[in-house]
Amino acid sequence: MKIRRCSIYQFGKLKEKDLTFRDGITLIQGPNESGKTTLHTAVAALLFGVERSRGRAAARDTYKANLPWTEPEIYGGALDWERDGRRIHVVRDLAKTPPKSYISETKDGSTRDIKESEQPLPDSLTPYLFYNTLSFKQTGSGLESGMADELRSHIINLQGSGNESMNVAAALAELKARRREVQKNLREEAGQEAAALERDLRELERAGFSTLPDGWSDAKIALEKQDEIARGLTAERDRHIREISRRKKILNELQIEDRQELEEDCEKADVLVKQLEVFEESYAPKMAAPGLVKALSYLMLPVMLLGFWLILNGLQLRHYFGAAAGGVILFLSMLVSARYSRRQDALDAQKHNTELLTRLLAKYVPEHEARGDLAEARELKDYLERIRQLFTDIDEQEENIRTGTEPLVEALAKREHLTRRMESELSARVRREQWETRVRTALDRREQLEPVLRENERLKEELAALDLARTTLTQLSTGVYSDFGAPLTEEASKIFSEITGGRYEGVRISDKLEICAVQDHKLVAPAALSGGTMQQLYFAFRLAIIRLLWPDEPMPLFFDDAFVYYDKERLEALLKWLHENYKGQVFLFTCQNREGELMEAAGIPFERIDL
Amino acid sequence: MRFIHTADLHLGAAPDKDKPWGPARADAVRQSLPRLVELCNQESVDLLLIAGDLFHRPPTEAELKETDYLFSQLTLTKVVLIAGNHDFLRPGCAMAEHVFPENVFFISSPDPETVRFPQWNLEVTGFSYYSEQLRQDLTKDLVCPKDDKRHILMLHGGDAEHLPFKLGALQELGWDYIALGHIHKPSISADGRAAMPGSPEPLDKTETGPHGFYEGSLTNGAFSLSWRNFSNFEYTDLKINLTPDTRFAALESLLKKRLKPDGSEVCRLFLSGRRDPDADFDRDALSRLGFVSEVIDESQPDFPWEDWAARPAHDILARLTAALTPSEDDPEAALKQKALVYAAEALLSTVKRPGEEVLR
Repeated sequence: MKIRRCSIYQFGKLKEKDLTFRDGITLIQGPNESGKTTLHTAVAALLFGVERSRGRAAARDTYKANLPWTEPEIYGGALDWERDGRRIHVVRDLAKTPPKSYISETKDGSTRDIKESEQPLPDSLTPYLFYNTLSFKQTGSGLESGMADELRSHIINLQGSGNESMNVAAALAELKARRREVQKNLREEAGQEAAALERDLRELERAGFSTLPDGWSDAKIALEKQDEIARGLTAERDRHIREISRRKKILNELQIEDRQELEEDCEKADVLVKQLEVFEESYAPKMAAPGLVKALSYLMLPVMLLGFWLILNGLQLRHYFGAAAGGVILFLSMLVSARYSRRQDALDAQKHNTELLTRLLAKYVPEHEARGDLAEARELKDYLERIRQLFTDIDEQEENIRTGTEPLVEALAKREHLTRRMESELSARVRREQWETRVRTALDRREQLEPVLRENERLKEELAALDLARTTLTQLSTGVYSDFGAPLTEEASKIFSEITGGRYEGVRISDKLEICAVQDHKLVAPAALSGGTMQQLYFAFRLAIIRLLWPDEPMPLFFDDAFVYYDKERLEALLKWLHENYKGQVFLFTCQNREGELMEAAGIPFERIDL
Repeated sequence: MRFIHTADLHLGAAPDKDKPWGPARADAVRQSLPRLVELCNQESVDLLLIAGDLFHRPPTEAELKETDYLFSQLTLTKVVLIAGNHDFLRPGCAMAEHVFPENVFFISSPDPETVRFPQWNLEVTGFSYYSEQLRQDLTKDLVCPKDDKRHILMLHGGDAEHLPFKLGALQELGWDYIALGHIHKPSISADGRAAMPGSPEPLDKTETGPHGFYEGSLTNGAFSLSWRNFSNFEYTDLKINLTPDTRFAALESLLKKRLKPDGSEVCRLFLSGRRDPDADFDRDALSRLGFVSEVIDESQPDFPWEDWAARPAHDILARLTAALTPSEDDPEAALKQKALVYAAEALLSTVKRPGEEVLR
């Protein structure tokens, strides 16, 4: 296929251009904004026609983008091209809606109009393929790995018949991103929680709790009663203890410690009172003059002696009268003496008693000034008896405590037993309530989890679908490779080796579907290649694709400032290679003098058109 | 003798808790028993059969006291009650220990027991659940006694995890009437001698259709049965078929017309058909329209599958379509269909139209 002539009436910024092209290399040079890319687009537009997109794409479609700035009623041009000895003349008036085309064919000297579909375009040359194979743009501004992806997509898309340019790598990335998004909403922990809940519920079903026995309320009353009894007994005991301690405190204050001594003193006081009473009754009234009694008792001795003498004398003198008188005297004096001696004894005893009373009083009531009389003795006796009563009371209380202990212990034990029973019943009740709460909580939680689990199920289906989509796409793209890859790699290897001057042996497509260079029998990943080498690799693949797509026909190539990243040596090698090895037309669009100068220096023939 | 056969009141349940109409649903569930009691009194119903799941959860003493009050309001009606899988018993649990009012006959035994009503020459046999699941079919030996009395069998269950009986086998056991519970959707056997009344109030958005109970009578030894609606509310499924020309606004206005504003109906919205691949259907906005519980989008983007399938065999879309279009009886048909849509969407999202790149 050869492009022979391009006449532009108006297209974008281009106006009234008429360019003819020969075989070999054509250098189309012009500064930036001079319309190189526009010319490039115009060739495609005239070749394929322009469809007006609708909707969203319209804003940036070819038609709108290249609408002339002035005089939009003149929009279009003509293109002459050759193939298989046929020369086609295409005129396209893009100002019309829809655009009008006039196509004619000149063959063997005669010209006739033909339809759009009658054009002898190379097999499967679509606008898409034109842009993605024949047209080389400036690429590789540091996005070398992205370029490899693009190349891979090209290979896959080249197999397609549609006009879409689909990027499998991007599609896979899109699916992966979507998967991540879905995965994020998946709540795996809900599944674990639900499983744990099921286990809990089964456990709760099995779990038992002792039932509340009948007569629960009776037991409660019994406990209350027992509690009251125990409390009563305890209170009584406490009262006894309090009483004992009160009495002991009194005894302590009185400093009475020896009970034995007190008992004895008490006895003494009792005897004392009795003796004093007797004395008071029997002697005291007759004891008007104790001194006289004494005197009389002393006086009785000589009388007795006189009586005795008279007796003796009378007997001796046989004066029996005298003796009898003496006897009477003696008898009488003895009588008197005995009487008065008794009184004397009573007085002595009285004295002794008074002393005793005084001693006792001094012992128990030391601050009291003792009189030693009967009233005092009585008071003392009462007092001591009261004290003795304290001891007796203590004895009694202690006895009470002793007898009260057994029932108390019994009552307490009974109460303890009842309490324990109540407690166990209560705890059964609590356990039952706990069971109810746990069951209800578990069931409620399970109900809450249900929608989450359902949503999880749905999300898992989504994930499975996304995974299937991914594996299928990967397999399909790999399949495309395996169909197309081997000859492609072979061809690309040849070209790559040639344009790199043998520095690389070729290219391979790795297991990871990466396009790699081969150097010293080793694969070099695209990431490890320099930008320039990557560009060469890209070129090699593109050209290989073209050769595989149209094996029997040299197709025109369009390089739109495609060599910006090539250094001088690489560019020269490439241009030389094109000159020597490529049979089709080569259009170099450039804004630099570099290509022209290089080709001149290297003796590569080329046609130059200045825009 | 007139009777009402109900089940699955699920007192304490709160359907659609997180939805604006949730409180109204909870109220309706709570009021189902008082309403039923009132109805029994008004219509002088003799017997109320509650075939399990009166409560949504094993009840507390407080809850039982509430139902006691309601049951005690019954002037004439006797109640026969069994526990189901939701209010399953434990020996000693509140419900098992509970002493119901005199007119309530609670069959709390895990083994079949019979309540006798000599005044009607009738016996009701049933048993209660003691676990949440009952995978054994305990009905096999439940043969109806042979005597001159009428016999009702009360059962709760009917799915794999809850008393997996077969209705046909059950009916061969000779019972005069089988009062079932557990499945929330009403159904009745062909001869009308076994019935599942469903729940008097729908309890989940999936429980579409009318909800009520069966009422019947026993006259001269013969049962007759009829259905009666009870709930004033219904869950529905609304299916809308989309076409590539369906616009979101049109769908929205259609729904606005279709949805009842009084909340007596809550629907699940199913979208099917083929939608415009570029159209953006905001499912959340549809959910917000009012009484829509869920939007289930089963629609497919309207891709030209046939065109793709007709492309040359090596075309990626043709390959994709061929690889993922499910065959008729493919068990993974839904999965493949989904994967196909995802893969196609992902591929098409990367499309660059011809010339686009050049002009950018």
